[in-house]
Amino acid sequence: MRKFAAFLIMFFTAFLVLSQETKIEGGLVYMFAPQWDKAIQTYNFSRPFLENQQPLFDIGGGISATQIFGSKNRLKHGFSLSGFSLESRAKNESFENVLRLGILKPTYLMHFFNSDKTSGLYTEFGLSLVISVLSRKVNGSLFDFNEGRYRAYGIGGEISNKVGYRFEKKGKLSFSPFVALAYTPYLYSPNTEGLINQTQGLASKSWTPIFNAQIGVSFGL
Amino acid sequence: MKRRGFLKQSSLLSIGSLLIPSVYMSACRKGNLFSDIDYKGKVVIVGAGAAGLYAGYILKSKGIDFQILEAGANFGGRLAKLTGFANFPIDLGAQWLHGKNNILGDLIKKSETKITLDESDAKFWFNNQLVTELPRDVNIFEGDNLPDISFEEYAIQQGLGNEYKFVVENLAGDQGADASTLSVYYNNLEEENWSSGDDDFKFQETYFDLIDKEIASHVSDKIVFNTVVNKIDYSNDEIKIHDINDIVFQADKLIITVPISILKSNDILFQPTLPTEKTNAFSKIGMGAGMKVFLKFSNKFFDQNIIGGSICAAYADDSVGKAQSDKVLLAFVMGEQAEYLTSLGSDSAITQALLGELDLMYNGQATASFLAAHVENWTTNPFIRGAYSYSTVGMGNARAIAAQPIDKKIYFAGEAMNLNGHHQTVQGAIETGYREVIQLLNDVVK
Ligand SMILES: Cc1cc2nc3c(=O)[nH]c(=O)nc-3n(C[C@H](O)[C@H](O)[C@H](O)COP(=O)(O)OP(=O)(O)OC[C@H]3O[C@@H](n4cnc5c(N)ncnc54)[C@H](O)[C@@H]3O)c2cc1C
Repeated sequence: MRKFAAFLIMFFTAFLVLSQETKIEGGLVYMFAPQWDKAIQTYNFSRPFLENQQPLFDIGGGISATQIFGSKNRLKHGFSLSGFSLESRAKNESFENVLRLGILKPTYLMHFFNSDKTSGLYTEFGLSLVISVLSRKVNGSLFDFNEGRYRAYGIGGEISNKVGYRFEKKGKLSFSPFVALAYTPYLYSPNTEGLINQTQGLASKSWTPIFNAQIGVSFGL
Repeated sequence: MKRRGFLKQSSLLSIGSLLIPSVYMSACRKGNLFSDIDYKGKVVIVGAGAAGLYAGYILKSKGIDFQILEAGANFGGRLAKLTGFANFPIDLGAQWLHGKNNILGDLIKKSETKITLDESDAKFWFNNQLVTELPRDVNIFEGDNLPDISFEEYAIQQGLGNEYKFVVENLAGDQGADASTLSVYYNNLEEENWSSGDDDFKFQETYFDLIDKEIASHVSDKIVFNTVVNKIDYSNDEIKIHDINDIVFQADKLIITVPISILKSNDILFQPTLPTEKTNAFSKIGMGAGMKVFLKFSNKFFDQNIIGGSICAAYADDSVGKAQSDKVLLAFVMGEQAEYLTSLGSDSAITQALLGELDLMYNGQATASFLAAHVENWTTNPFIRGAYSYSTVGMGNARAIAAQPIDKKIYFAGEAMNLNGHHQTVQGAIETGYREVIQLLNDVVK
């Protein structure tokens, strides 16, 4: 335990010493996961007794923290940790169904920018691990979809590209609007259909690709 | 390329590729399947059980023309209700909601239907006495590396002696089977897909009432009763469905939901004949005998559940979960035991046999306080002929083959066609009802 704590302290010290820039980002995310769409569409299709349909997961919000490491090169490396949250809520008489999706992404990124100038365009390519957590609440209670299981987890990998324009403020402070695109070719989430439609293998596959697009602002410290 | 050029180009590319597909995809993504479908063809559904009624309900929600042909005089199939026998309504067929993590769980919440968790206790009839615990754990039929042999054979292999015979029969009976025909391997394989939850619930009214009020009420005007289908001619574009009175119905698509026993017995002639692979698959899916006998007493001398009788391996207090409490004991008789009781030839002989067994367990109290009986024999019902489907030894992927549509014209639904581990249940039948409408509409769209 002590060894682990010492390692963590060393790691973070090195991280701060080496890091050139810390960025905090926030934005809106648009998501398209075809197999999850299918699960929700099948849920809607199969339940004509619900007057209001369950919306698909599409727009959500997210924040992330990024560290870019110092180097004289125009290509820099960094890490970021992002979290997104999306909600699908349908209120029907005596039946309110809320699906909540959380996505966590630790990312390794390559940051390119024109170092001749203090402000301007930059682009980032990222490689992420994607972890998804889906839960459902019916009439306010967390839904147990299979013998004490309340959450459906997923895991996959993602590639992304971000483009932003950096406006330099005083000192090291900067802010930059950005757009980003990300593609997850494979996210394994075997219990998603079980949670949404309460079936296994009837409506969708146990994995899905995910496309997402993001628009946001980043503050550099 | 210069770095600045690269940055400019990649940013334009990103923005373009962000906006265009996002707007496009937003416009294409619909919250429901087949939301713009405008199918003008006619669908005929054979059978007005849970699967047929639900398929009709879905077709209606999509504005598609359909008709349900039902052999009997009532809808519901293996869901039925008896009133007047006791001071609470009785479920003659399906009774327990096996887990509420399924579409019916949602419907129950939405309709505020009253259900109660069945937490009743059990006693075992073991070595001629009633005991609360068995010397050995009998849950040996789940797990890894199970062989494809019968429950009976496996129990013997695992050292469960003859004294456990009817306890094992009860486990097989739950699956609607005899211990001698139910496969340990395939039963476990299918159980692994079960995702409805482990708890059993009882309806304060009946299971039939839920289906009647919330599903059948939407489609009852589309049911043609007393229509026993005996021939399906799908050799032309238009399907011709004949009943035993030679009335002919026409359809563009057909969803058949009759029990697997009816398909196995060739009561319905298909023209052209169904592929041999398919008829072989039907014959590999088991469906054993089943009956429910309700015994009404003046005295509550019995335990909530009694397991392991040699005449009936499972008795249950029928008043559990009901608002009133007449003393009614249900004898849930499956497999060989149901066959034996059927062979006695009359309801009174069946009743006497059961009372005899209960007298032995409770020192003559059954006969002394007996008031009335109702025998519901699903095996002698000509349009059901058994209880529900089960996994036989050597079954393989028979369910998947049996459930395959034919020529994009004939679709197979019903509990036996459920591939998600929910066969044998009402929710399983309902899932196949909407699954086959999805298949059918997919074929229409293609
Ligand atoms: C005794 C018993 C107890 C059960 N207990 C439970 C329980 O507690 N919980 C649970 O979930 N499930 C239970 N089940 C199973 C459940 O009832 C069934 O899985 C479900 O109702 C099957 O629905 P279905 O639509 O597939 O078939 P069915 O309900 O059998 O419907 C098929 C319909 O087809 C009709 N038909 C047959 N032949 C023809 C023909 N030639 N032409 C026209 N129509 C025809 C029949 O009359 C019937 O109405 C029980 C079943 C039995 C028998």
